Amino acid sequence: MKSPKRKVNAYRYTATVIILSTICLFCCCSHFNDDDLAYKATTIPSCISDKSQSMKECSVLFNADVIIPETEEYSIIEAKMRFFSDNDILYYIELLTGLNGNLYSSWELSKTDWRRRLLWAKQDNDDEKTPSYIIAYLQEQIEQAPLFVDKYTQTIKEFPYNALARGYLETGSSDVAMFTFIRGGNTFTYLRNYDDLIMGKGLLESNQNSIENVNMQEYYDWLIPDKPDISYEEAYSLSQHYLQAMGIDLELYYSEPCTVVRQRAKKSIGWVFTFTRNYSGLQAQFFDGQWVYINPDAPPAVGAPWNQEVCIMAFDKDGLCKLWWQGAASTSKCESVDLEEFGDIKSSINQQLYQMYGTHKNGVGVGLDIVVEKIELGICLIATNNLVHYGEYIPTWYVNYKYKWRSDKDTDNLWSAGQIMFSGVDGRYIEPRVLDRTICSLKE
Amino acid sequence: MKRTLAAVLALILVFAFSSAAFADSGSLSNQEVRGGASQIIAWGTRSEPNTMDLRVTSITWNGQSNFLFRGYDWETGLDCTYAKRVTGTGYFQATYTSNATEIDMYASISSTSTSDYLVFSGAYYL
Repeated sequence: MKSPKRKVNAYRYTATVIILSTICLFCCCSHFNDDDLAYKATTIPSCISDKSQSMKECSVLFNADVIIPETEEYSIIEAKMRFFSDNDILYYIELLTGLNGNLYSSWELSKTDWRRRLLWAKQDNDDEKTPSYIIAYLQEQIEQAPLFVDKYTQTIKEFPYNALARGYLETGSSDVAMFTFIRGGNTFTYLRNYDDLIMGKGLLESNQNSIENVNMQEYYDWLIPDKPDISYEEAYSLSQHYLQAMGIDLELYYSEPCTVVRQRAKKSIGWVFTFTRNYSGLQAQFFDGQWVYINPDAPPAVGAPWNQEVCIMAFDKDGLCKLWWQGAASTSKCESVDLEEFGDIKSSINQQLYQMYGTHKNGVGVGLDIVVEKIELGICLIATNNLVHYGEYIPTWYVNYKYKWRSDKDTDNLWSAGQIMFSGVDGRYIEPRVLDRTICSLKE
Repeated sequence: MKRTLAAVLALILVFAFSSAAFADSGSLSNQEVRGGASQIIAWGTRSEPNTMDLRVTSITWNGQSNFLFRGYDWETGLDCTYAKRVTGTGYFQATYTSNATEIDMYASISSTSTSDYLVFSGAYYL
């Protein structure tokens, strides 16, 4: 039989074990909380789905995936605008065409040239018939074209400095390459043939939904790309060759099939790749052809120092059809930073969308329903201290949302897509797709 | 002195005229957008390397909705931007998806009746 004293000691022992265990457990939890990555993993959800605000004029709902790419650290990266010298431009032209002659300052086709194109378009091609729109277009061009065309060449130094210039070069097989560039600037583009049409699947499919195009349905159906004539792997491998040869240190962001209408007569199907800056697993986003909206009453804190840095390349079975390189930058030193609390970012998204759209009402006095669908961490280039040749890539929350009038039915074609960005460092609303000087002018 | 001043003033006028003539921009004052097929509201030669800009300063809805903008390549009749649904005043900007040089800016509303219309004012820069 246990004595009362022993019984008390046993209680004390049990209590001590419980207290020590609790302390150990607490310490372990504290240790995990000190671990930055574990902390972020537990505080940023993988999706949010809640009704954050209900107002008469405008409602903002979250039904969003939250995407955070794996990264070792979050950084601010200094960026400097690149300046293409005349030698750089001549090197790119030679690399892409194998030629180094003078450029024509303009290009026009004669009647004979258009007749040749019409014959080519009428030639049987596999099982697909050339649309009547193309035949009619080529016939119209024959009517309008001059019999003879005078062409003048000029050296690179004869093109204007610091202004958008356009030059043409005959490369054989009736192709006339076109280059646009800014001497002393950071934009350079190439088209294998100056009037080839190159359109991505996304934009072509959006054409199908527009009511104004009903008269050209046959043409639009013909344009939709089916199976590319070049494999994805081969096209991607070629893109890597050009990136390396031109010193473009960007990484693949997006790819899709594209349609190429060669010399306005024949169709080929290829791949188009969009390359953007990637640092430590975080990537800049770029969507060709999409709209940006800024409400001057709720403007972004800062914009871009120059055009978004992107390189777009399209390939078909005969190789590179298009290279579009704009906003070229070089990056240098990095500074490690912490991310803003995600809860604060969510609150900023809610507040900013309401400030942008809260007063919008349609003809029957109804406001907008806004649904936030995706929140993804990446990087973007913004201006610093009003400098025009320097900027910073910073961690950025890319927020995709859709909106429609509350009075409209909940059908896909009545929703529109939008995107806004927030600094991952301090939560400010930023706009890397619009020049900072444009944003400043909106604030005046 | 007077001659110098006159020459300077003349130069200023020439430069002012030149910039206005070459900038493919303009104002849109009380522009009507009617129901039915979309309508061209502005056109010109592309001067920006890669963006179409639109500023909307006022909209009188007249009971209408689904006010859409879209950029077209005049020469090919193909879109050179996605469509944008405008819901209020502000600044809108789109990147061009092609090397189009002659640009048409189209607008439409959801009504199919040409007697329906809305009115807006603003400016464009192609």
